[in-house]
Parts: sequence; C-alpha cells; structure tokens
Amino acid sequence: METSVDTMLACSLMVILALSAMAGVLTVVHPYLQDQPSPYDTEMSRKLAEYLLLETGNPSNWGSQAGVSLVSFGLAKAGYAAPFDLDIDKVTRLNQENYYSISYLEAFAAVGAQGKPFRISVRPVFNVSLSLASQVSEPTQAIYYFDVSTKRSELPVAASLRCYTVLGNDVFNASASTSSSGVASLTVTLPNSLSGTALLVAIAKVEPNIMSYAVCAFKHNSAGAVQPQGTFADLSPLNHALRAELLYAGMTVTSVKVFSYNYCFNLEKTGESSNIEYYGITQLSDASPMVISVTGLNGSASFVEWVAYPQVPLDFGSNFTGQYDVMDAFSFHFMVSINSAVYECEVTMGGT
Amino acid sequence: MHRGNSGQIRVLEALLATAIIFSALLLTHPIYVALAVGGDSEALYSAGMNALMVMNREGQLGQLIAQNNWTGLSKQLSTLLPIGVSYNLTVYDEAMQVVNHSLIANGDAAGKNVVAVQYVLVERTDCRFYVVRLQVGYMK
Repeated sequence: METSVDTMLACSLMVILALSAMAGVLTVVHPYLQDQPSPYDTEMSRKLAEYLLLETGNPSNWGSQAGVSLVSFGLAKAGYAAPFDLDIDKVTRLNQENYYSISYLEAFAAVGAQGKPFRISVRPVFNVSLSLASQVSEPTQAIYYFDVSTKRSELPVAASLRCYTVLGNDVFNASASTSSSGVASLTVTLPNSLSGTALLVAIAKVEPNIMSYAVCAFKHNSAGAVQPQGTFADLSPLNHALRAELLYAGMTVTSVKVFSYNYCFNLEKTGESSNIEYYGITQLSDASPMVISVTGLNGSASFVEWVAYPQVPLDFGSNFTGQYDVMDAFSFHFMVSINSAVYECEVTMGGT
Repeated sequence: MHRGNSGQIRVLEALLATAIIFSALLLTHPIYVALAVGGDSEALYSAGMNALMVMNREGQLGQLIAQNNWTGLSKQLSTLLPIGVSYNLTVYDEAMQVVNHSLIANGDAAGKNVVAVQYVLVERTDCRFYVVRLQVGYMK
C-alpha cells in the first residue's frame, strides 16, 4: 500500500514537472515560431525583387518610349552585360516629379503578382551635403566658403568632388576631396560684375564608380530669398532629351547646361511648342549622374532651375501604410548600376 | 532495498526523468537558432555576391588584386556592403595559394553566423585567374 502511494506520488511529480517544462519552453519559444516568416515567402519575395531588377520588361524599351503601354514591368537595361544594370530612362520614369512618370497602379498591373505590393527606392550609396559657411565681399569679387560633407548612414566617406558654380551663362569650376572624416571646405569666387541666383553643383565619386551629387542655390549680388526648386520651370529628362515647361508667361531661357563628373557643356534646343522647350542631351560614356541646369529670365529677374538625370533619389510604389499592407513586408538591398555609376536600390515586397 | 527507501528512489527516478526531458528540450535550442538565422544567410550571401559583382563590373577588382592594393579593396568593400556587416576577404591564385598576406577585414567574425561567398575572376591585363572568398556576417 505504502509503495503504491510512493509510486503514485513519484509519477504525479514526474508528470507535473514534465508538463510544466513543456509549458515553459512553449511560452518562451512560441513568439519566435509565431513570428518566423516562412522561408518560402522570404525566398519568393527575394526572387520577385530580383526579377524587377533583372528583367527588361515588355516592351524592352518602355523607359525611353513614353507613349507605349507597359505589358510587363522590369527595370533592367535592354541587352545588359552585367546583372543589376538598370536602364536610365526606366528608373527616371519611376520619379513622380517627371512628366513622363508611370503610375504605381500601371506598374503593379504589369508586374502581374497579385497580392504582392512593392516599393522601389533608388538613391546614391552615400550623401553629399553642401552648406554655405561664410562669405567675404571684396571690391571686385565675393568669396563663398562652403562646408562639404560626404556620409553614408551618418558614417564618413572619403570622396573626390568636382564642383561647378553656374551663374547666368557663366560656369566656375572647382575640385576638392573630402578627408577620411568625410568633410572638406570649398571656396567659390564670383565676380561682382555678375548677379543673380547661383547654383553650386557638386558631383562626388568613390571608387568603383559610386557616385553622388548635391546642389545648393545661393544669392550673389542680389536681394531676396532663393526660390525653391520647380518655382519657374518643370524639368523632365527622358530618352536623352530634356522637356522644360516654363511656368510663367514671358520667361526666356538663356542657357541649358549639363554637368557630369568629367564634363560640362551646353545643350542645344531641339524643339519648342508654346511654353515648352526641348533640348537634346548628349550621351556620355562618363560613369556619372548628370545635373542639368536651366538659367533664364523671368521678366527682368534671373532664375535657375535644375534636375538630375537619372532623376534619383526616388521612392516609387506602395507606402505600406494600408491596413492590409503592414504585414509580412520583406526588404532587400541591391547595388545597381545606372549609366555605369553605382547606386543603392531597396526593393520592399509586401505579402497578402 | 528497504521498503521505506523505495519512495525516495522513485522520487529520484522522477527527477532523473525530468532532467532527461529538460536536456532534450535544451538540445533542440540550436534548431530555433538555425530557423532564426536561415533568412540572414540568404541576405548575407546576396549582399556579398552583389558587392563583388559591382566591384568587378569593369574589372576593377582584378586590377586591385594585381596591384596588391588591399587598402583600396577594403575601402571599396566597406562602402558597398551594407552597414553593420563585417567581412573577411581572402584572395587565392590558380594554385589556391593565398595572395593577400595582409588581413582584409573590418571586424572579428568569430562566433557569428558567417556566410562564405566564392567568386572567380580573371584579371584582364595579364589574364590571371583568382578565386576570391568573401566571408560576411552581421556585427553584433
């Protein structure tokens, strides 16, 4: 009798301990198992993200042909020699500020993956920032001192810089390098015989062809504040042509220039209709973003506008703020090349 | 065995059995860890391979190796790999002899989930073959 009671107590103890152990482990492990994305979902999202960057889409030249309807979506350059080589015009058309941009719904339908919203961000690998530190006025000229910094996620990057200052029809060149702490000082000297809004364009390079740029407008010898970008003209580059829509009557364009890391030259007008002017953009072998500046007169006041080609940085697609979008989003980073320059591309794929 | 001690023996048996069950549960821990890092491995491999492909797009990686420019190679890798990824790169020649005799790394990869990416390239000037092994892992 005594043995039976002992046995029963021992068995009960064993069962209680085993059950409590299982319950404890389950409690600890459950959140991990519950939130563990299925490897299949992750892999499918990754493949779909790669597909967007490795396929040319249909028609394969949909980037440069603004009028064609998109059958399938893909950003790769037609006949690309290396993976993740993106088409400059396809990327540019993702920027919603571009006149020829495609809508997200059009792209979503062309991808053909129902229930898989996506977002594509293309931006330089590192950021360049320009800030006017001080200026010295002399009888015949003004000297502007700019602080330049090159950073990637707030970490310093050493880069080489080519800088151009546009003022009216004149361009003043300068070059600099940021140190390993990612900072440099840049001096711009402008003659007092000129006046108006000047544009400082800085194009930065880190090997291997990792490019970034920054643009800073400032007043020289003139009063008033610098107007924000897009006040006087809407600029949309595509298919190596610039569409410049002048927003006020009586505006005249005096010069259109393009700046890359190694080159700077004027663009020729190729067409005109009412308030819209077209300029041809020469194809460059330079692995660099192009910054196009348009200067002119609005009545008696000068203006300057600019746009980058490819038109990056950009964010395109779903913003994942809908009630059905916040679940199971997978983000993938890729280094891509556009016009031989390296950029960072983030593709976020949502789930159902 | 005395009848009075048999109950204590059974309690000891119960404790032993429980210990065995706990041990089994503890041994399954690596499975959860493996589950957790499975996705990381794919992402790390993709990032490493992507970086090497971009570096060698126009043959720059081969040039850097031919010039023994390990500092330049390390700088480029640091820029191209995502922030928070540590790496260790080794270059082998055709005979699988190590070419770089200085360390090309930005951190200690010990004790981390490390993924190895193997990349074969040809230096375009002298047509030499190299095998690049890039080990990448998340800094913790």
